Amino acid sequence: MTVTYATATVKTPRMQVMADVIASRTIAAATGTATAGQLVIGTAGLSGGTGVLATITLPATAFTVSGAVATLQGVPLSATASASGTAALAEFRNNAGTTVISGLTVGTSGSDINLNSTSITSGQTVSITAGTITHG
Amino acid sequence: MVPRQKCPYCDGTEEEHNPSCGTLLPPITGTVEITEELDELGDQPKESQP
Repeated sequence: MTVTYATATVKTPRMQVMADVIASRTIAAATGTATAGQLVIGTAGLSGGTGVLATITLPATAFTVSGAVATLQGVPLSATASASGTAALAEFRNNAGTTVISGLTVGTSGSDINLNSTSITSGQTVSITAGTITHG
Repeated sequence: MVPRQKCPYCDGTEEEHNPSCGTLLPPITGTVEITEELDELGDQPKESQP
């Protein structure tokens, strides 16, 4: 599935890494304090606060990277659904709620996020048991 | 006194059941698996040479 990365916060730094590596420069570790982001699961109308079904708080360092694979940490991660509806889209957001990765599809198979049911009821526990992002 | 209800999704009662079964609804569980595609990285397919 095709997901979309935020331009200023992800695409541009990635391109800068590529440019620096070609120029034989050394890539430095990121600076600043890590703060917990979110995985927001929502309906097909997910946009900002609209269509949000469940907001799962991620660990401050949400992923560890090895090779070409980023693995979600702290699983299982759970949240209580804040609304009822059919899950269809999801986004990774930072702690300020700014979208970092959008367009994640949610389904029961063959999606970016596969749930045992996309029918979510307010108050229901929603858990993510594993997660990876693999560089293509 | 209201009799305890049996939770239909775990072996306990409403007051005693598994905390992961915090409501009387079965938990939704799932996984995230994203494999990036070439275009997502900003790369463009090479145009065919004439």
